[in-house]
Amino acid sequence: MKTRTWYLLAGVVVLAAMLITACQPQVQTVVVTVPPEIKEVEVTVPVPVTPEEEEGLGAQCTYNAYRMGWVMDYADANNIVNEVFHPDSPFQYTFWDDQTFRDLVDQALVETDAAAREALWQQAEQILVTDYAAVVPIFHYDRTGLVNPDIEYEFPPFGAPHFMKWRLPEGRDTLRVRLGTEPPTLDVNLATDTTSHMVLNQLMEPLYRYKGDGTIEPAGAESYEVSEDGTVYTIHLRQDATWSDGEPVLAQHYVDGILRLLNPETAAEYSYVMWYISGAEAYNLGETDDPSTVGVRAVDDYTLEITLDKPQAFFDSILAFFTTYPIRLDVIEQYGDAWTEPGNFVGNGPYVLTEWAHEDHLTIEKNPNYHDADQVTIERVEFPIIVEDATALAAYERGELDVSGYPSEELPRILEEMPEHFVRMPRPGTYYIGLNTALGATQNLNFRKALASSIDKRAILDAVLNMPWRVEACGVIPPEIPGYQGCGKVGYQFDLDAAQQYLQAAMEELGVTDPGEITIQLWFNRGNEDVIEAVEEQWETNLGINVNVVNMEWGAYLEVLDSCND
Amino acid sequence: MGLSASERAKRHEEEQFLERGVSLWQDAWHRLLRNRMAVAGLIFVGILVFCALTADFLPPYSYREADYENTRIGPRWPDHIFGTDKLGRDVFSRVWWGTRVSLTVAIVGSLTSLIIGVTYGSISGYIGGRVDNLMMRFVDVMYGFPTLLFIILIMVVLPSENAIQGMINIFIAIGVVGWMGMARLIRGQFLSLREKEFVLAAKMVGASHARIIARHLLPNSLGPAIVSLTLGIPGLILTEATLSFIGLGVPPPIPSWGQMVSEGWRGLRATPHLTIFPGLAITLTMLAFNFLGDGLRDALDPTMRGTALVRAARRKRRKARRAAARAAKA
Amino acid sequence: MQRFILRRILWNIPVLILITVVTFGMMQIVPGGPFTAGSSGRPIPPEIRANMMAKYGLDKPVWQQYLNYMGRLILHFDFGPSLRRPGRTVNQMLFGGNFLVDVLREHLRDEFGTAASSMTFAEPPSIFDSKALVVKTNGEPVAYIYITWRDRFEAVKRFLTLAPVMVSAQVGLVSVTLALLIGIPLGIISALKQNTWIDYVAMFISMLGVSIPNFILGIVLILVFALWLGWLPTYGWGESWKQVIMPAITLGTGGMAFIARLTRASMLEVIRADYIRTARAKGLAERVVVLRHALKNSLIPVTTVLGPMMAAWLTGSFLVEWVFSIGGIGKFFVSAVTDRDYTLIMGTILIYSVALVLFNLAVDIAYGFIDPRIRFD
Repeated sequence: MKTRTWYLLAGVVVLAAMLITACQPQVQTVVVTVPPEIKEVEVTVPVPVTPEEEEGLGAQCTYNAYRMGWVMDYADANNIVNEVFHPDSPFQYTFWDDQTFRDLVDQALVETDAAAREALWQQAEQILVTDYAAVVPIFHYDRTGLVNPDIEYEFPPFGAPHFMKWRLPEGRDTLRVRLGTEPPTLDVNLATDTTSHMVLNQLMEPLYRYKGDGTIEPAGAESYEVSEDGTVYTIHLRQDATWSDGEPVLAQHYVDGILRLLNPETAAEYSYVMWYISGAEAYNLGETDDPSTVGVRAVDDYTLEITLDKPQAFFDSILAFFTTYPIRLDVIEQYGDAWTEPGNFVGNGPYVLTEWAHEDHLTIEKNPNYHDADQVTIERVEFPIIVEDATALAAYERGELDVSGYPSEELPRILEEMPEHFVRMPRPGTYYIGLNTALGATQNLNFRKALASSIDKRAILDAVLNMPWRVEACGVIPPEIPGYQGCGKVGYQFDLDAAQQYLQAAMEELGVTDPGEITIQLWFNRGNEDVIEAVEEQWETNLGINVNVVNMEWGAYLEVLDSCND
Repeated sequence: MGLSASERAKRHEEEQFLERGVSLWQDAWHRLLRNRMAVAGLIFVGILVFCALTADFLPPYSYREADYENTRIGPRWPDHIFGTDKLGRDVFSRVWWGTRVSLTVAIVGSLTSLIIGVTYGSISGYIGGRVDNLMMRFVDVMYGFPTLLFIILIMVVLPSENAIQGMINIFIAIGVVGWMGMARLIRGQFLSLREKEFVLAAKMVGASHARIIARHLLPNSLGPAIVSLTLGIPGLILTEATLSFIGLGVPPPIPSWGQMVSEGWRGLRATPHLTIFPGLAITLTMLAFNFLGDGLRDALDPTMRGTALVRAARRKRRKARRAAARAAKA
Repeated sequence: MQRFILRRILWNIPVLILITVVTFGMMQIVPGGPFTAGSSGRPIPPEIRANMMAKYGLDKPVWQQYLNYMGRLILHFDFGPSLRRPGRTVNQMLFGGNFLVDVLREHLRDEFGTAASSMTFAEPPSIFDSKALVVKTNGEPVAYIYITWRDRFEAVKRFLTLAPVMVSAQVGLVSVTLALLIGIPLGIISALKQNTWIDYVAMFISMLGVSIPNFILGIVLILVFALWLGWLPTYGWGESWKQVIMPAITLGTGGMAFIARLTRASMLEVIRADYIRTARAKGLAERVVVLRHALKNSLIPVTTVLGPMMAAWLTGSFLVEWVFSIGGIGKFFVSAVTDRDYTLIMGTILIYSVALVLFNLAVDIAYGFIDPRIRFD
């Protein structure tokens, strides 16, 4: 009997141990800490030493550096300098702060003169990237893929292509475009990803749209006026626009679209983009449930009026963003959640959804009711869903697809064997490493500068990624965006001597004699092994410090970073 | 008995041989050595262990030494015989180093499941009755989870602050999903052995529970456990490759075969050497462990017990007889 | 027999419930939630995340969420809405939704033409109903539509061919069949020819089958048969028999090798048994001995592993569905976790565990047929 009890106990202990090992959420690790007083030795611009409160840093927030990227939504530096890197932004985890930067951003937001605005963004970028070295940009994105060379194509820099402008070779009327995943949703207010918008862009028409050269042209709108003070936008809609079921497109449909986006019950991810509209934030956050407090209204059937809190010089870019799609509340009411299914979906774009075999393929066909239907020459677009890049490439090479992706591992062969199929299009955005200015060695400005100037970005692009055409980044504003400064004018270039000098200064300040005593944690999410392994290797080789890489799966990564940033 | 004198002598010799009291393991070892495929497997595993132990100083390059001037070059004599990868690291050295990681993942992973499984299974099988029933219900619950999904959940829950921890996570994940089979196996063995005469005899003599388990039950059920372990190791190497495919494998820059293969397979046409060499390593290792496992199973099979020694004795005698004949001729 | 089956099923109910509890608990521990990152891949600002959590009731206490979920599941067989596919339910993602609605809608379209698009059903029709009430969008009744046997048959047929769970089952079934058809004969032959070159070749081939990772086998097949030889289509399922071949080989090879080795081992054991010796001594032909006496008994271990194997394969293989772009449910076993789609995680785990329970039960019953000595107490 006694023995049996003993066995039972042992069993319980084993089970408990398993549970504990399986459930223990965090293990604390030791990081090199530095004395709090930091002296500035080699400073070019007087930078106030920011006293960093470490309250937000929980036990798991041991990162010194983290990888992140941002693909821009519209052509204004606001979308990256302010929305991503502002000290209060939810998208950055560097704990940096600077009053001059805040003031510059506030000025830039209301500045309507393009040149003056550009200059303000540039100054703000200087403070962030050069003076604080809080962010180490690595390269600027672009969009690459495979397109059948017989096809005339056009990719705008923002959003998805408009297939109504594409032309197939003689004798063909169906375009086959590979989708990498099932579109998460075709609900115009909820879709935020590129796959959904690849399809939605054909089914819907926004007020304005981007052309291939990056300029904006009217689509659902004809023109707009801005009031003297820059806060009221009056948009005149085209009167020949109809929905795919024949109903005319009215200003109220646009109002409905924006209000449904902002309705907290819709829980739309991109609702914050419209917070510039007066009353929008309060309505979206549930502070009021009266939609009439939002500054959007239909003056008449074909005139839309949007009132902003304060002038926003870039708001015309937002008019071309998918957050302004009109919607048909009657259709949504009729079909409920199933309104995005073929047969139910009613759009105002050049195509209609005719087939959606989930997880398999979608088909869209020309909308005869579209106001510009004469200009649409491609009768049908088929979207087979092929998740694996290698499979998609094989299918493309077999001629089963007209537009496809490719696995980056095959890039050298593609460039050699089928260069005429390979297309490269602008996609403004920046791939960067953020530095934690509140923890360990990266608290030290000179150390951050040393990190920033010891990455051979060119080698990473040329050799590791095999994309020699990509632009190495020194600042965060991409080259396609007004305000781009380029290497040498902003940030840090690869310079081993400078890196050593910064490192020496940093070591003096940190009271360290051997760089090997410094260990930093570099966090990244899976899928970025190529770049991060190279960065890690270069930091270790060029600076002699220890770099501990931690890779996490995207969901966990964001959660942990987020919890540190609260 | 119609045995001739010589036959009787032969019998006698065999019996003598058996009476010398060879242990189960010694006997099994002898039989294992007679299996050519198993020996080949054993030698290959030996080579792997050697590679794993010398990974730090024998390979021509470090597993992480980058060379941005020479990325993705094909096999080239004599400096990069397996070519280089996207960072210009030597694939040969990385495959060598990967031996250590893959072998450790497989062996530690299966040891984890062995320890948990044996403990759990023997408790359940020895106590029996209601406790057994309850414990087996728990195993049913664990079985009810899809393995892959469960491993992913565990890997996501566990933090990985550095490479070592990342590897430990894989051990835990593999151990946590792998022990149920082992527990069932050991429990089954215990249940059937419990009623065997020699165990009953030991009980009658008054042996303690610990002694019965340690001296009688465990040794007799360990054979099948070891076989299933050896046959399970290749599966674990593949599991690790699958985890790498999803992106949950061994954290870089530490190389494992599975990780190298899952990084390279998409470029099978552009850079085949990145897939073929680590892939070959996986395949050969799996073959070796499978042959070894099959050999072990045959060797540890109790119905075959003694046959190897008897055959060895026969062979020895035949040899001696031939030698004698030759000597006589001369 | 009936009592045995009933008891087994009853035993499994608490097991299944415990599985749901553990899964629900584990999902809470996993860092990151369904709304940490948006489908755009960007982090979601906390205020907006709060809106989303409220929309799906995730702001309530965990026990309440669990009870709500289980209540809906048990009472209405409703797996809840997918958290990462707005507008879609887990039922649709797993079972393809209500196919009868599609069938009846086609009738409506034939009858009413374009006006049919503004009509719906008062209640979702089921194949057990005899008629369904058709109403206009404003609720005004239009007509009764009678559900014929042909409609029911058509709906079931569509479910069997189109539902994601059935697509996975088809892939799995073809692969299992392939594995058994090749694996068992291979095992028998190499057991009968033990330690000859036939044995070695057969075992070498089968070991090779286990040791190649599925995704590599898949891409090699695509390159060879689709791209270079051009015989087979690259991806997809259900449009032509040619699409079946490569997924079946990819998934089937591993199992085939496993079954071959298992058959060989148990066959070796069986042919040494006394009753086989007796059968031979009786002067029966070797073929009869092997096929009638030895084979049946050596299949018992194969049957045992077949339960979990069928459960795993028929609920979809992640790798095969990924590489060949097959719209089954296998992909969800990974994507549900990486997306933190809680309801989908629950759905996939439940499908798997129910399949496991059913197939193990089937195996137990099959024992009775193979070996009459095994009785159900």
